Amino acid sequence: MKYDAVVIGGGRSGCSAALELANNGKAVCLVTEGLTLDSLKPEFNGSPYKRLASLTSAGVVVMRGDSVVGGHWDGFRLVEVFTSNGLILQAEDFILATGRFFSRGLVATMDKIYEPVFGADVDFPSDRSEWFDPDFFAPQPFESFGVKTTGEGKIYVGGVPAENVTAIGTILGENAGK
Amino acid sequence: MKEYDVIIVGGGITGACTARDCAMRGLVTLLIEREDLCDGASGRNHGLLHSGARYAVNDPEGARECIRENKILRRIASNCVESCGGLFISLPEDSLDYQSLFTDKCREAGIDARIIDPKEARRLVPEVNPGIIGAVRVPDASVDPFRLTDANSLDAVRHGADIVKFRAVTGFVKDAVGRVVGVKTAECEYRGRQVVLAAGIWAAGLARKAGVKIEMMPSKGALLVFGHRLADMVINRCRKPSNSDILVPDDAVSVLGTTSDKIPFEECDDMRVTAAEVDHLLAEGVKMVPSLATTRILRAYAGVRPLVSAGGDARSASRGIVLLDHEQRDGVPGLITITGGKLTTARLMAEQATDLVCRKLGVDAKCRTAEVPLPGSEPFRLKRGIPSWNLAAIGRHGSESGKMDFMDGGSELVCECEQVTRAEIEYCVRAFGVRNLRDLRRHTRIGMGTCQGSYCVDRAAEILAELLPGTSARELVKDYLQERWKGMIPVLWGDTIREAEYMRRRHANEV
Repeated sequence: MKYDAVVIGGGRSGCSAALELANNGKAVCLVTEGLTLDSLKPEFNGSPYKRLASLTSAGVVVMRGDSVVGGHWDGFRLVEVFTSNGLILQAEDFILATGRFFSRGLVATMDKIYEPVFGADVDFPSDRSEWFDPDFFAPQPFESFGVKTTGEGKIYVGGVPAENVTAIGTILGENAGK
Repeated sequence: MKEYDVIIVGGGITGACTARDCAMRGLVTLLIEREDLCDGASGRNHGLLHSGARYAVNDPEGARECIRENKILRRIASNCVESCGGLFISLPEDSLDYQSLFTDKCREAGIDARIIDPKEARRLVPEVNPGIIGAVRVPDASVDPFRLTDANSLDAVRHGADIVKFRAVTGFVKDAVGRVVGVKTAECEYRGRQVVLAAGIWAAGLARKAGVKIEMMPSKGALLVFGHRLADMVINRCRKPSNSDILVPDDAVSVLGTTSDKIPFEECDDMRVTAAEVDHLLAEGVKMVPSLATTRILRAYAGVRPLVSAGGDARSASRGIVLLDHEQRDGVPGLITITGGKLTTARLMAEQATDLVCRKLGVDAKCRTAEVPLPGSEPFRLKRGIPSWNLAAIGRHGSESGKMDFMDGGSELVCECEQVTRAEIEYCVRAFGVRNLRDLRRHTRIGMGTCQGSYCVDRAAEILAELLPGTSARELVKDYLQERWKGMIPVLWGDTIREAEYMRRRHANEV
């Protein structure tokens, strides 16, 4: 199956991007683990079913209950991704919208923070005592960590920009794009 | 003004046990605490009821005290103690010569220490490092320090003692000849014929206000709480006592500890666990139980041991009981300090302090605290028809649970992780005078499970605000989440950072 775009992650940003692309005549596939916390943009209001319907009626193919676990690269170009349900999805463009820690778009261990699908480069301080503010209600540094991107929003893998993988949403870090 | 026979300063386990003992011997007793009961070291430890084995080699007297008290507490505080047993394991880098010295010394101290086949140890505790070369089974146990302190304080009150909480002692009242005859607080004075300092490390500062010097050394012990109960027995390293070599099953979780470092007195009121301490605890802990490396850590906390200085480092200082008669020692009559010791020996510390108080007052009364079961640990019959999710609350409060009203909505489940119901909250507000969710936690375990309060805090706050006129549910929530946050940030990775992000979205991010 080949699409114009595969959107990975069905939160607020992933749903918005999928809808916009579909409305512009693109063949879009959205892969999402389930119903997410953040799908709260006005156009997605209502029940989960209505949210889904607004996507499918625009022509988006929604793979629910599935997640992207990796991809095949041709040089710095992502050719296809494979999912935990065993599907292989090919596309011209890929959009990474897997969110932050809660949705496992980013994973933190004792000594590092990484992006688990493509191993995209992540910006974070190596000293983990700089990951938080002791005041729970203050802005939290860990919420501003995200994947590094080029001016066009393309991710880096091993220091090299990917040609056709764009990161959007909270995986960019709270302050990105503001 | 009420004239007390004895005023005990400090509402930790030692103070609560001393109040119970004094009240049972017929003394007119006041216990005064600046915060809630168990706010200091008594609420920030391993929850380990020592068999004494850990001290057998280096401190035979301490070991004998522990095994005696261990047996007593299993009897009188059965509802607070889980007789899980303990293992002392030897890893390939540990010497089996130490194991044989260790078992000899245990037997000399009267501790039933049995060498078992490492295969048998692995059958008992499958999580233990499969490379162990030796194992000794000992009667270690797990004890809930909050429940034990509550039970002692309840019994003190039952025997006529007064308890004043949330009121700090700021100084002492002395008569013309320099005898201590009472304590001062910002609000009022309390008069008593004997004053007992049972304030742990804080005894040093209090004593100074009475013109007495006690050389104390605060020793910080950091611990980690794991999200699951990883081993069903206490796991110790069979070697010279060192850092991070005890894993204790506490209720539904496991607690790993501890470090042992001298800290300045200024830090005792706000101890923060550092990244270096966490790294060290984990690195050592995984040698005993490898799955600690992959198990979620819920939080980190630290307590302070009240060591009385003998020079040297914190680990080698005496951890024995220190009873100071300031009349004899410093020429300040009316003042006694009981400190040092450990959770396991708190009842004995109280007995020694109360013996001295009675001698000073000329009272001839025998200690009965070793024979009489504590509230909660008395025989009782479960009422029929109570919905099953109240069993956790009944388990926590034992024979006192008869005072909870599970009917008329009392069975409403408030905290799923720890199965806290409305009836338990209502009872604790009545019985312990809680002010906020931090206090409520010590009596119920609310918010101590995997969600760290993310889910239940709003419901619990609504109920508390309803029961405590003048409090705001939102303020209770904020106060509690800030307290939970302190314990989460030293271990902010893996599922804990996921929980943190969720907690922030739910409670900190305004839409």
